[in-house]
Amino acid sequence: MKNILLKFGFFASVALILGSCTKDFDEINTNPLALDLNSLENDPLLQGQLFARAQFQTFYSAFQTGQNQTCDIWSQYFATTQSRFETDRYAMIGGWIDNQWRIHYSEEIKQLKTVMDLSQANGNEVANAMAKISWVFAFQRLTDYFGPMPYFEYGNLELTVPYDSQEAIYSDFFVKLDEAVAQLEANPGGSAYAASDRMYGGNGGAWLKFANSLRLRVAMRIRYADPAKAQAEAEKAVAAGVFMENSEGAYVATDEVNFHRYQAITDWGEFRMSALAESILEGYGDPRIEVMYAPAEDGDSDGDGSAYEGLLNGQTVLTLEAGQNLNHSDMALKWKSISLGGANPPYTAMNAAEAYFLRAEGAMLGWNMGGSAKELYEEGIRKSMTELLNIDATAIESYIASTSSPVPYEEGAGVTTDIPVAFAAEPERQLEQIITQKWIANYGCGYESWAELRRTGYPKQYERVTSDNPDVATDEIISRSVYPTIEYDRNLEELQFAVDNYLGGPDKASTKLWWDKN
Amino acid sequence: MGSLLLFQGMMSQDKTVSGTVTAASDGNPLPGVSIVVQGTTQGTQTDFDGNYSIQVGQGQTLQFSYIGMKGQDISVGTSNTINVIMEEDASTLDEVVVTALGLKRQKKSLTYATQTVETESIDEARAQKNLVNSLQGKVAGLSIQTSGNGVNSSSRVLLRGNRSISGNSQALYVVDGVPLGGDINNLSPDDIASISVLKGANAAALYGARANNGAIIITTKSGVDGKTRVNYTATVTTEIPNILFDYQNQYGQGSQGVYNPSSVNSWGPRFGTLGQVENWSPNPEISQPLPYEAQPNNVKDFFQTGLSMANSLSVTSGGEQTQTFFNYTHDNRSGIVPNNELSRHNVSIKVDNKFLNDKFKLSARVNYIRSDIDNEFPAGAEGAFDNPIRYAYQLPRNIRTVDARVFQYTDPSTGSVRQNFWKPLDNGGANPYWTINKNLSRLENNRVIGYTSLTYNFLPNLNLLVRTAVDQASEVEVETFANDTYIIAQNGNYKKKQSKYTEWNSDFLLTYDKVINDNYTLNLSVGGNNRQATSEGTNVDNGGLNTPNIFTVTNAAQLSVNESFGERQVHSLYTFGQFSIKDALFLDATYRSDWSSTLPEANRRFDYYSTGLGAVVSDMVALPSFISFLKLRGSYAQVGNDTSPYQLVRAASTQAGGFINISDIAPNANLRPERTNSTEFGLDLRLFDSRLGFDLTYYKTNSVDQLFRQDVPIPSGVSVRFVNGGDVENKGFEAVLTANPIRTKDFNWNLTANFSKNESEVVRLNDNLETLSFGGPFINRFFLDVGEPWGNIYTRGFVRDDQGRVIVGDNGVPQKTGGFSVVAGNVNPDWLGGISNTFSYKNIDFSFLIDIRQGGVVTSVTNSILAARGVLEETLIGRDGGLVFGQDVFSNLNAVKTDGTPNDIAVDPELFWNSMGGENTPLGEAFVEDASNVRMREITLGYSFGPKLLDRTFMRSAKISLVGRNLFFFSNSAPFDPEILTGTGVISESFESFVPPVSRSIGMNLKIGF
Repeated sequence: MKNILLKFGFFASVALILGSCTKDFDEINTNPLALDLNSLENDPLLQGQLFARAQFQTFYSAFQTGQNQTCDIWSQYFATTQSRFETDRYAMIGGWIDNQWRIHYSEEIKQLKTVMDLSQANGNEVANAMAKISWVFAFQRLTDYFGPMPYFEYGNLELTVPYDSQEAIYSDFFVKLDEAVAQLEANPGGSAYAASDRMYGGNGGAWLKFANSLRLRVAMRIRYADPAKAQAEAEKAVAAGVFMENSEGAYVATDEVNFHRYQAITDWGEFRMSALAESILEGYGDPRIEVMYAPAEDGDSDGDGSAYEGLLNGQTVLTLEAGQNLNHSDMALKWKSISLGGANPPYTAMNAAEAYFLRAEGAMLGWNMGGSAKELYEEGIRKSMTELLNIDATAIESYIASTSSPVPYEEGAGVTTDIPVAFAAEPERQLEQIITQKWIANYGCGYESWAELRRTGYPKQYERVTSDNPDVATDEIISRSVYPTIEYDRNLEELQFAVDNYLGGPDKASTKLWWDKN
Repeated sequence: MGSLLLFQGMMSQDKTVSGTVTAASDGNPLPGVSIVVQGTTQGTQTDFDGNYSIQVGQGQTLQFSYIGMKGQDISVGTSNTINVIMEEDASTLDEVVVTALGLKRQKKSLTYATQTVETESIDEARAQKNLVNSLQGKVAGLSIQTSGNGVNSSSRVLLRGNRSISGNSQALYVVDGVPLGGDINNLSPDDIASISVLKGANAAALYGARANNGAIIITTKSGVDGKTRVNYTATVTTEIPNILFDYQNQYGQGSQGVYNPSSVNSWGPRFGTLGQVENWSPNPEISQPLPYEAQPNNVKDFFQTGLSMANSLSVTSGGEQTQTFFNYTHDNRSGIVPNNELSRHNVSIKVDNKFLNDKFKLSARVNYIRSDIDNEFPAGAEGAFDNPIRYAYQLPRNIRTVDARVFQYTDPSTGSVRQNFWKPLDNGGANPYWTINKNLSRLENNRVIGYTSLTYNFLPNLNLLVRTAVDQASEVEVETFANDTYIIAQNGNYKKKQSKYTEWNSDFLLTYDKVINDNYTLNLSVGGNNRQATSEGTNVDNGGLNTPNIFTVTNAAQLSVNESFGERQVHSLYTFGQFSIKDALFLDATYRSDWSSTLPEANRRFDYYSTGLGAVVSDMVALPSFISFLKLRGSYAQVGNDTSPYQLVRAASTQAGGFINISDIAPNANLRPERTNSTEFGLDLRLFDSRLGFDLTYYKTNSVDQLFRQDVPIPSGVSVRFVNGGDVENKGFEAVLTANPIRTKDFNWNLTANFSKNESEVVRLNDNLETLSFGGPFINRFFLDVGEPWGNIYTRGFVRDDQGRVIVGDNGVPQKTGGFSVVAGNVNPDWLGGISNTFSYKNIDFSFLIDIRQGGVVTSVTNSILAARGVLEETLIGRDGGLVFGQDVFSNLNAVKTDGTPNDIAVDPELFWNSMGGENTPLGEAFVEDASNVRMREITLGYSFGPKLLDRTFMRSAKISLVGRNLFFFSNSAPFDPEILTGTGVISESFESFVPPVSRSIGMNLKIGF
């Protein structure tokens, strides 16, 4: 018995030593495939790749459901041909909205916050400015989508996150831009994240122009909500120097791995040219139609002498089930899959033409925009034409002088407006022309065009065939996306507070945003 | 050590005695009877023919013992032949069960619930798709559901309900005392000697963390001392699909009553109203008009009768020192969907060797399994766009099989091969015959399971076991999609997944048995285990092809590559013992310490223990004579659990194109181990010479301090955080009834019935957290709600007024709630049951098993989509003139218009079903099905050829059996088999999405011994 006890004791102690030998456990529990966050702290190369992801994902993330089948459709660049997609009939699709919220917060806002924090800690002012500008750009798209959102307390790592009013968010946009501009001006010739930045290769001077142009865009959005601030900020932007040339515009480069989403989703055949696009572009004889849309596969099916065929928005399941792809225009080859000869173009964040149209609107109001409304409007058209086409000047000038107006997209359909290209005399018609031309120039930028549609009501749209949304009639437009169910699930009290105090109406697609006084 | 050698036999063994041991009941030879020379360690076993031979001295006593038989002691006289006839022991109490660590124990000494499964017929019935399915309906408290992946499916195996919030409530598998890394789906039934199920944490405390969901303990066959024996088994099984959805045969392709050859719907004109219609084929060379007629069998035609063939050859040989068991099994299966095939080779060899005067015993086993599987069905609700069943079920009612089978054509203008489908380029549409012929996958899995163990007997009652065991599998899956596979592979696509896991356990166990005196016995063991588990994987997705249909990684259009890796190590030390008094009162205790690499340093070690008491009352006090046996038992156990690797720090990862992304998971540097506390009480009662038995168990388990991912508001900067919290309680009752109502010389009837009822409650989640979503498909969400049973299903529902009446909109369609706000039910069954009957008459045996699952609900994505397509019979209502909701359909609901008056608005059924069903925003409440069912799980009819017949052949034994599985439902309210899941994850119990049709299998099995 004693022997046995000794043996037990021996094994027990050997085992205890073996068992408690956990020296290598820390190493075992370190993921060899992951990066330690600490390694990012002082490494501008790694931070640059963090920044680049945010920059890219701003456009790429949830593109199909968050932009193409929503913003692009609601601003009537396209009509949906996929019967099972209900957004063209104004339905709010919960899963899509969840994605839009989750992915954009996590793919770009989270990354940009980290870059802002790290670059601040590193004293990298240019990088810090780039992150702030990108933040304003990305967040404006989000708040214009939903309205009040968690903003100032973003990243609190708590179980509840308070919302902020859209007014407060917009006012911080100007603060962020002020800070960024100051940082860039303090570092003339400065550069950051040169190897990673997909917009300007880290060129601080180019970022400065983008900051000013973005300020102009942000300012114009609040023109009806806060006219004084809008004018002051717009004039400040123009004085500091906005985009003058196409080469200065903000584009995010794509490549074969990180590509333009259109070139993937066009394969799926889920949308076609809208009736509105056909009406406007054919009415104006607009040469840009070639790089925007392709002739329909079935050719000129409505007999109007052109193979560009647009589809009225809001088609029913039943009409779509019949198949609308072959007899309506797809996007132009440039946007199609690389394997089909598509160009995989860069994403347009903001082009020079838009800066001119914004200035034209300001000038129309008598703001100091460094030119007359007419000059700036016409220069905007010239910039867009030369950005998109290799075209000679006389063709552009004759387009600018043209008095032709939109045509019915099919026989007997009527038109939405009679405005020509040639600049009108009456301010309201001028505004309609400016926004309509901006809509053409911003092809592929559905976020911006949907926001401007809500702000101004232009371009005037065809009435949809059906609405599945009891809050928004066929002749009305979607004013915002409802909040995602994941916020109702996870952040209900704060959400409810925001709806009651900031939103200015129920959480519906018909509730207008703070800046939307149209 | 010299003194240890004294224990060899002291008496000379001067003669060889041999003989045959047979059973009194049927005269058949008994293999495996243990024969020991009394007072020595000398012993042997009978071979397959019941023969034995042993060296023994005259005057010594041979002790014959066999499970379920009364032991006999026979004194050796002058004769060299001793034939023994053994009688069944009415009390069958010396039943030996395999418990934790591969230890064999007398069942009567156990202080917790375990159930041994009859394995005699598992190599005959050969559960289709997965070995574990042979346990269906046989074990109280065990729920087994199968994923609908075709010929090779995994199973969701739960003992006593769900308990783990973080996801894995599935039982642990243990083979020959060693935990597996994977499941047992590809093990061969011909290798299995016994299966026992340890149901609770109480039984499994010794396996530590992974066994807190219970364990399924498998012992493989060994060689036996005796002559060389060869066994051959052949099984042919057919599998017959049975589609339960009712299709309509009155309307064909189109919409609004108008024929449309490119429609995927069947809302077209009534059959008989059109003669010939335009051909749907996009092939310009096929233009002859088609008859517009119902094709009642077009869905059924897509399926075929599956055929499986299994052949197995095993060789047993051995002498006194060394015994070997070899088995080779080949499985060949073709499924009910063409091109879904499996080929599996399974080779195993086991060697047991005693040496140095039996002081040492060396055992080793290697099992190599190679599986090749073609075209498994993908599982999942959304995105499973290469699931052929999805497309077959949606066939418009006029599409002829003969036309659809022509799944491709050559485009005369481009020369390229295109898909022949009625709605070209449809996102989410395909010709099902295209899918099975052009969207191919093949999977190759190589798995090795093996162990080596060395046991040293210091003394007859003191031994040390040292063992190391590996379960390693590597798998390569290649998917090739031809061009014109809509949306997902316009130019074709290529995917390759490679994965590998290794589970390596090394352990030692020192065991000491001490009979203190006639009244007291002590068993004491100390053991330790080192567990190293790694898994890794690489997934390549070409994201389309540059050159169509060249399936190589280098031809990628948009290559994406994913890499994963996980590693953990757990050191464990444990001790356990049993103290028994008069072989009637048993006291058990275990204690275990684990050190896990996945926990923070301060919490790395966690200790837990169990204790139990069993009293064989019938051995202690005099009971009325009709009570053969009565045992009471009770136990308490605690099991700790660690977490998965890499949860302690927030990390960043590199992404395609060099991007860097920061994790969305907030880490927790202070994680604690989670614990399961389990209490159980049981009663084992046998009456009337043990011809009637009851085994009753009540249990209660609480899994507390659970580690799980809690969803947090996205704007907090992360989307989930990893927390300790949660308490899930399961309590329930299990009953097993065994009866032997008739027992005569020729006829025997055995009945086993089991019943189990488990009630779960989510007692706590976390501070301020009352509900936890697990997400779900478009049709439902899976939630845990505090105070409610595990697994509530939420759906969009009908909008109701304060009287509970359903409000119908002006268009006649019921209003739909905006979000998933309606609790549509709970996934858990109310109770499970099984009734098994075995009859034997002379050489014929017959058995059947009825399996019952009562309660629980499941939502049906399939039903929702098929209804919107207009292919189901229920969509016929109102095709002429519309239907009134609440009257013509859903008449059980009280429907009112917005003004509160009864609904009388007629609505077009096409609009109605598209609003109710479809893919993206179905009104899930309308597609909830009761998952209750009662089925004939298994019937076997066998005939054993008698010795008279066999004596004239070269065969030693032969048996032929007819086996049917899943033959029919006594009742089943859903239009699908609720047992077939879309996967084996937690939420998979909540919905059904285009799983394969229910199938019955009928087979024939032949077993021959030489």
